[in-house]
Amino acid sequence: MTAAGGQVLVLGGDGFVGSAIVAALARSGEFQPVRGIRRARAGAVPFRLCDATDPGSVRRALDGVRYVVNAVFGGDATLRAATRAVCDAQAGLERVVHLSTMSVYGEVSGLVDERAVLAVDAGGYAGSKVACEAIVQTYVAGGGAAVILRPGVVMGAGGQQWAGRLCRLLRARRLGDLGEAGDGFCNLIDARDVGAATVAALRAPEAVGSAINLGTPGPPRWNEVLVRLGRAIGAVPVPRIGRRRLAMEARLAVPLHVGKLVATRCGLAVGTLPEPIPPALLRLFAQQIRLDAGRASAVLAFERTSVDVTLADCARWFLESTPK
Amino acid sequence: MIVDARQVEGDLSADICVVGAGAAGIAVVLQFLAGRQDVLLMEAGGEDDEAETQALYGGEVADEKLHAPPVNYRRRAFGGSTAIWGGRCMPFDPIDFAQRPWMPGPGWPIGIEDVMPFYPAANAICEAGDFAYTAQAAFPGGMRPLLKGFAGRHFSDDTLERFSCPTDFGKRYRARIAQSRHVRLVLHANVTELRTGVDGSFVESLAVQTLTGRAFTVRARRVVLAMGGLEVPRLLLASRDRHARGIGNAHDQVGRNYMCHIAGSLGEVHVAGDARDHWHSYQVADDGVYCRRRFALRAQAQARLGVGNFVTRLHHPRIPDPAHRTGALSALMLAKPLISYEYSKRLHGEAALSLDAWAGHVRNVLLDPVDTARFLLHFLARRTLAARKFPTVIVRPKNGVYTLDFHSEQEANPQSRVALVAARDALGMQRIRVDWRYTQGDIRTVRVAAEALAADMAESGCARLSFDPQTVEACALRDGAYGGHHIGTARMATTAAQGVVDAQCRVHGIRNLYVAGSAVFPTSGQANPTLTIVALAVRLAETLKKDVLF
Repeated sequence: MTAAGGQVLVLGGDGFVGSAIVAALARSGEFQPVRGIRRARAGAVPFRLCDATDPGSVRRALDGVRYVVNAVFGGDATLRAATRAVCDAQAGLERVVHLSTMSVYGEVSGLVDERAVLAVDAGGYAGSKVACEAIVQTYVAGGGAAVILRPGVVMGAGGQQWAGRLCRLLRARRLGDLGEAGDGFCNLIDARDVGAATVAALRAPEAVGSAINLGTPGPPRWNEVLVRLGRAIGAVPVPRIGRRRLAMEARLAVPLHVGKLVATRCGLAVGTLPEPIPPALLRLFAQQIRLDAGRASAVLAFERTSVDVTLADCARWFLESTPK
Repeated sequence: MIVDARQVEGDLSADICVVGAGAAGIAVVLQFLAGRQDVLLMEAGGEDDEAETQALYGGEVADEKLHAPPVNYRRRAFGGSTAIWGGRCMPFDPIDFAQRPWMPGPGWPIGIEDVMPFYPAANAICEAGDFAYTAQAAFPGGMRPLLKGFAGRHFSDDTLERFSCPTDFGKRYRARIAQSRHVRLVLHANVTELRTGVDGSFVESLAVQTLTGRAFTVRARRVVLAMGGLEVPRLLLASRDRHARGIGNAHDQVGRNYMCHIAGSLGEVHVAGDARDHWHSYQVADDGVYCRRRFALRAQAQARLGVGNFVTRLHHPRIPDPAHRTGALSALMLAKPLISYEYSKRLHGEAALSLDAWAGHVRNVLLDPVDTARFLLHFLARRTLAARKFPTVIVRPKNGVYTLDFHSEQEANPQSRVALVAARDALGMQRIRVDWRYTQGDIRTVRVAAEALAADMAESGCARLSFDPQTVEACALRDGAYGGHHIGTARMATTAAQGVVDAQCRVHGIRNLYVAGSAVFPTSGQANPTLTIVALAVRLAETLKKDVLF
């Protein structure tokens, strides 16, 4: 264990994952979270205005802070700039916890532990996260103390990326039981568990300098998650979606995405266009990858939320926040 | 991992060798994807249909009117016959496992409690949704009545059948098997002989051949035969290196007691009330699965009446007879040449249709264009193009007169059998002769059960069933043995004198040889076999996992 806590700056502290981390830190009684955010927003937890992509801004925000959690979410430039800003700040930090993703493993299958080769040639989000991990590893090689967390699918009440999107698509009957196309593993982890894991990562000395997967031991398959969510939000009967239909969705994804951008530029109502289902998401549904959660259990030893509770919370939140 | 036997160099070895990649074989290996054991899954065919491979199934039948040729209702390719099954799922009933003095044969040496723990997993593998087989369990909010006001002394209308997509196990589980480091699927690997060790008490190796001329040997600590109810006895009988009568056949049990089901349609059901008072179609449960009520003969009634298990459904009139005046049914009749043998058999009837009958079907279509078009559109949208298919043809009779579509237990009969003949296939393996026989006990079950249902309907006052008892045998045999249900040819029994495998599905006298599939069923029950095949396969996998040798 490290010495007693101290202030922890959470970059991206108002995001979905960042908020869960802030809440877990506040509950810890040991750490004092500070939200590092771009625009002032009231809340029980104090904040410091900070543009995470601006090294100077980050350096100023780190004044008096012992720890940083990088939970910034955004495009490639944002992710890389924020990671560089933290690692180059030379602020004498005791520890950095960097939120990465299971996407860094690329489209591999089987049981994957932290020693697996990263998908260095991956493009898009995965490529950005691989690049960010490389920045953190350079920081560690230079004597910095950092822990990289690689969560799977972070779900929970309020999460638009997963719970919200999946529930909307289930309600629209565009997702359901996907058959073999949904036979991949859903390496889900509750957002609260990411928070608990982050607290543990700040405490555990053996975590420093390494990457740790965050997933559910014995994860459910995507079909199970989709059918259970669908039933929980009343999107019944949950339809079987065939390969032809999914292929059509994949083909429509780019036109729909472009259409939304154009509509936004023109000030038109974006909501009238169907939500695109990116081909990468469809590939994930079929990916037979199981995150090895053994190291997280051994090193971080945080208490996990059951899949049942996570899915029930997601459904309850969706029903309350998204009327039909 | 997937490999092709045509490219295999040298012999293979594994902890477990499963022969046959159909419902049973795939269900077994799915339990070992992430295990410690090294598993080989030997599939005689490729990933798609191949005529030359399918021809290896060729054989003789004693009477083609009673039983389809052995090449039909089976598929020799990855996924096996799940590529052509209808998807009907239901568990066996407790009474099927009970000792029934009024039925021939020793029955099951295990109870429903030994199988029940594995049914939910089987349901999931078959993609039949929740393991909920009563109307109340599957539809907590209520389900439409089969016949409003029906309350039977003999029959219950509360049990359901659920339907798989129907799932082709090969396509559905290919990715799981392909990515597994512990399971190797070997395509085009025809196992033609089991070779036993010096004292004949264990399988030492399996002889494998390909149609391209390659031959090699597989050695495994445990061997599971999951080749279906016709190929399992074939391989056992053909393996005579140290067992002159074939492996497991010291007591002449292999291939005997061959059962299918007794099925057909009979009688007329005149329903009281209006159209809202009866519903013979499907309802979709919350999990998206098609479910259907049927009339099931209660266990107490079976005991009291001294008959086998029996279920029946309200059904449209017989299609070949144009007197039904229903355009949709006549359209199906006219489309018969486009429908596969397995699904068109019931369109044949006893004799070739006359020109007048064909004209009658054309007339029906012409005079009923709206309903015919509606039916065809529904068929196209909900079945042909749908990922989860509307299970069967459902047409409401125009005159409100249904027939009964029944599915009845066939009793064990040693004279009904599968045996080898002198003719050999392209790999030199002896072909089979199927001599399927029914008994008067089988016919009595149908007749007595129909009489009991008629009494229940009359007492309930909701419908009237009439049928000629003299025609029951003809109705039951119109389409011959129910296709694709190959049951009992290596049945489970406590002793080798009564059966081929023991309660753990291990062949009597052979310590490392197991059978998965309906060949081990000592009774046929009323249920379609696939769900129980898969449940027993999962059970067998659990047995193998506990094996101390591993």
